[in-house]
Amino acid sequence: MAETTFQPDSLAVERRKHGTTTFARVARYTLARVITLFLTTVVGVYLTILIANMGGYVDQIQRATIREDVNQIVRTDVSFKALSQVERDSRINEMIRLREERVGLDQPFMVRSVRFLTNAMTLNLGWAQNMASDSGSRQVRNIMLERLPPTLFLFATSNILLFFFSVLIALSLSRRYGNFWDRVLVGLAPTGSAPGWFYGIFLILIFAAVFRVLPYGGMVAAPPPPNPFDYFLSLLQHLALPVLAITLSTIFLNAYNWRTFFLIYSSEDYVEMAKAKGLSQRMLERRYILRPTLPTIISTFALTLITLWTGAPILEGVFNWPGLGQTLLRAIGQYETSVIVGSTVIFAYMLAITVFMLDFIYAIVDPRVKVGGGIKHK
Amino acid sequence: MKFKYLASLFSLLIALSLVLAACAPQSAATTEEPAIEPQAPAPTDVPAPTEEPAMPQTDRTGAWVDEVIFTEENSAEAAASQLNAGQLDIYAYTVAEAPVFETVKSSPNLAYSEAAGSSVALMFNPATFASGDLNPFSDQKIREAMHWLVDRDYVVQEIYKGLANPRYSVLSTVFPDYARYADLMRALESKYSYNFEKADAVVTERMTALGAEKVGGIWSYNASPISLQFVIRTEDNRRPIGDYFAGQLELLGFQVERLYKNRTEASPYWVQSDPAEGTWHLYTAGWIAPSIDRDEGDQFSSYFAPRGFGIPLWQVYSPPAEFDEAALKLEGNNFTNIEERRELFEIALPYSMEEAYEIWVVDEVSFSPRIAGLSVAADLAGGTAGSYIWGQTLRLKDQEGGSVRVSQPGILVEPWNPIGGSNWIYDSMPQRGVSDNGTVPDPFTGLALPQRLERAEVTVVEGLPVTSTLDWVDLQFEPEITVPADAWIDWDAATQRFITVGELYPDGLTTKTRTTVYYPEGMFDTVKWHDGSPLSVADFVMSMIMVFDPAKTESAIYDEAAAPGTEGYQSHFRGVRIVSTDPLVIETYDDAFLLDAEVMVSQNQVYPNPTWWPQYTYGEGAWHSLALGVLAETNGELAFSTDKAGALEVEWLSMISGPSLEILGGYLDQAESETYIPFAATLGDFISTDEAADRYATLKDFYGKHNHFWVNTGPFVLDKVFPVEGTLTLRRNEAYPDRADKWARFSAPRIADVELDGAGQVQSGTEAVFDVFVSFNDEPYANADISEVKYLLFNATGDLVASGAAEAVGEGQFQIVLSTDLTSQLDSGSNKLEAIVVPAVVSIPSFASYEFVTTK
Repeated sequence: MAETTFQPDSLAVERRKHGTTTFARVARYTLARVITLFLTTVVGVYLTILIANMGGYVDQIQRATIREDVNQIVRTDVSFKALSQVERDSRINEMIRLREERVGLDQPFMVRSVRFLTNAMTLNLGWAQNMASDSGSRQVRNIMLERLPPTLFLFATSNILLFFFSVLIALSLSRRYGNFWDRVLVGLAPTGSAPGWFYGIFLILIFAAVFRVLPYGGMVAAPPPPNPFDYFLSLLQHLALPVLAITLSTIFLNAYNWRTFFLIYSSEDYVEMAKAKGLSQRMLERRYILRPTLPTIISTFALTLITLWTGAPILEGVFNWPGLGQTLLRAIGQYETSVIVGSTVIFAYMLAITVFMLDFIYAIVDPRVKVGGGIKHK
Repeated sequence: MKFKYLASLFSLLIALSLVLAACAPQSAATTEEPAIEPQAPAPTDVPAPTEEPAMPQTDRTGAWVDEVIFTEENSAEAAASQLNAGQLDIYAYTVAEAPVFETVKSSPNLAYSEAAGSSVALMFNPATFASGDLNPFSDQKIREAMHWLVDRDYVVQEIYKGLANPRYSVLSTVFPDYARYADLMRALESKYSYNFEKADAVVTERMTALGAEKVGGIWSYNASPISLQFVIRTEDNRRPIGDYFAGQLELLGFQVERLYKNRTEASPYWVQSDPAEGTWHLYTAGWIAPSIDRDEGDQFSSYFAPRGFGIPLWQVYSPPAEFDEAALKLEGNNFTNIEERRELFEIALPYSMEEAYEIWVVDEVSFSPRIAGLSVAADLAGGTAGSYIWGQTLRLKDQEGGSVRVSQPGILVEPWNPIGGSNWIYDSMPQRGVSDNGTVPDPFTGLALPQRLERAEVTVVEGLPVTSTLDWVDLQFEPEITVPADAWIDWDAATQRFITVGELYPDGLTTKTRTTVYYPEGMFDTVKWHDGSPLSVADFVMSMIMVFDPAKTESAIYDEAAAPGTEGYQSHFRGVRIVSTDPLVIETYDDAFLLDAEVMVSQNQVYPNPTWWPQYTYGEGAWHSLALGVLAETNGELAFSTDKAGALEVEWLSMISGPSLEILGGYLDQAESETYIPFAATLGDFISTDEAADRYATLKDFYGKHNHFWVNTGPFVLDKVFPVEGTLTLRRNEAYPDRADKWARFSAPRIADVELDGAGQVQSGTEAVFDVFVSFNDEPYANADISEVKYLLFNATGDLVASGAAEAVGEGQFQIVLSTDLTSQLDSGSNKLEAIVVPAVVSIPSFASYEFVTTK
């Protein structure tokens, strides 16, 4: 995570030099920040490469799998039975050699790990060794991009809506502490202790198996309707249960957390003062509670957006949803380093860019914050 | 305040329900270990698969149903629920989960078919460890004693809940060789049945002799406890089996470290590591037979000789010379008649049990569930997905037409192309539905049946142990078979012409077999590719060219990964000759032979085979659709094989989806404008420019309509492919020439029901007669459909004392006569008579036993 830009006032004052223009200050800060974030990303991606390859042990697994596969092929191929053992072994070894070469096992892991890193950092995601995209492409880019729309459709829709609903509900309840709806929220908050897929199983049982009103899973009816409008309706029908599962597992706890967060701000002296001055509820929420908490809200929102990239493997599995989470899970299961690293490097870049952008956004939404200069004195 | 309490109570209830749900009992198979001497389980009683309705005759051609929709479902439990809810019609996967089986069996809405192609075994590392540590399994007697340590009936009943058959040897209990040598097998099963005390005694004796001693009940060597590294697979029932066997070993006094691994994690141990390093001692192995294996003679070499598997573990195997010699002869079918083969089995089978590098535990019985109103021919080894005629036999009850929803755990796993595409079973099933072939395997016996072929002649040199069963194959023996000089034996990729036998062998060439296939007259008028193009001789010649061309360095589509396979084929292939183009007659000369003449024609559907039907290793293909792939690979834009695609860093050719389609579409335009004929120097003799133009035009129309290039000739057409949505649709091929009821007889396997009856008490020295009743669906089994009925007689101590053949006395009725001499050899006590019925129409034998008492 990026370091905070909030500095103690005294330090900020000391660091401010006469004659330093705003542009130079921002430029210096930007450069330092970019370099730091880039190095952090490099380290993170390289660690991922090492972990995904188990420090090179995956090579052994791959060698063993190749040897096993080739021998199974030879065992069931009648053509090989006519060969002498020497000839058979020779062909087996040749087949193994070719396959090992194809996946790069003819080079030491450390050499390949540097190549993996270089390719990853330049976003040259390359080709998968053992996986193909749904349409059969081996390009890592296609493997991930094909799954991006379904992922975004499910998780972006549900998470963005949930985020705003949670914040709005929490904001409202923070000013109505202890009333009926507040107590309902407190009562339902423990539902967030179970993940979405857990609710998914029950929802499938209820709405698909018992009432038979919604589909068991999948993204769209099979075969998909040819008409775009019908396709969209079918998509919505298939979206209902997973969205409901995510909602049940998220909304109450999120709203509870935000409500507690806002509660602290809503009992600040300046809010009470504003209330005493007779400002409207709406004005209080918008100007006196929401505004000072905006950096936190924006940070959470931005981070929510980028975590969409990883999908939710188990939930996708339960609903047979063709998302990125399942792809990533399959890649891990198959030791498909290219996809794991590809996914990670994109996530890392998105995270770094988000953190970088947030510094500027903080300065825009909060007048106390100054890029590269800490917090202003009032 | 009241509400506050209510809200608190509600919260508490939710929390409690979550906790309770988390604590719900697991449905996984038990992993509890049995007591030292478990109670004798009830006899294995795997319920018979659901009987299917008889199919009516019809004039309809092609498939019974109009449409098949494939989707993906990973969970068998969810699939069963969807079947029950009417949202799915068939789950085409071989499920082995007992709880799901209970669900399916108890539902009146559901039916199922069974398959038994998977087995579980315990594999031992027999190496002497370089570290000097004692490896108990380096001792042959200890390995052999492991047979007595496994209570296979317990495993079947408690772990599989009856969904398995106990298996003792390398022979599958559901394939023909088991039935053929049932007397040998039953004797061995009796000898190696569960006996913990015997296992303990042998292990104690051998461990002591090896210098080990028990310290505090634990076997130790050089003052260190022996810790067995047990690699246990986690994906299926091998986990509870591993736990059970580990418990048994611990009861013997071994420390066992359970290493739970999935397939890829386990491979470095048993496949890759040097056995002498001692990183592991034993492993829960699993093997799959995707189709019925009619000749398991090669299994001894496969599992007990170093040549069987090219990994370090196998190289440690050191079978006794007599065993190795017998295994080698069986592997190469190096015997002259079936009696000689039996003698080799009599040598090899006992040795395989004694050497015990691997001991088998069970043959799993898996099932494929479906709705009750649906029938389909399922392969006895491969299940529904492994059936070659599922497309022709899939039918909704009392209905012609309709739509069927099929689900599998995967779909569109890898790119489809006939030369080097996906070989996943999930892709093979829809591919088989849309393709056709010269022959198809009988789903119940594994014998080849003529599909597009009319008949075949198989000629072999005298002395080879080849037999034929069905009348569509004419088997002949000749003293010598000469290959004609004009037969094609190799391919010159530079000139794109075949090399003849006369050119390569001016002095002539002889071989061991000649297979002549006869296609029916008018076939090229009736059989059409899905795009409407008529089948032609060029499609067959293309299939001959593609055996050789990719393996030749001079070829424009040279693929070094193809070379080892082609070289292997050429080591026994001796030529092919097109005798007549219409009707099409092709002769194939080969040094390799198989025991069944029918299977020699089909080569178990492996490409290339003497039918030369354009059914390649990974699917059927027309010359004109393959031509696009040839152009794309020649220009370095796509590659048929994954190896070459990886090496060139281009897309792996997919004819059904993805970036390949645009590239192939571009080459279709080019091919059409140039009326391109691939391998023109040879195929130009079989393809006119007009025909080429017509083919590309029809393919273009097809591509425009279906958005793919998968053009086959089968009962269904691949209609639409939706890769991301994970679904594809097949539509009935209205131009398919065969009637829908062509394979109607395969609606249900005729597994015989056997009853054995006779006197309960027999006086020693008197003749005893027992009756055997064989039936199917309560009707007598036709004697013409029964190969033989054997009997085995076990005495009071369980030893086999006699075996023989029962005599037919009526339709489905046989008699076993125990002579006076035989009964006089029996001591007083309880004896067991077992009848074994070997049907000719299914590979699975049926058993019945009867106990009687002898008195003096």
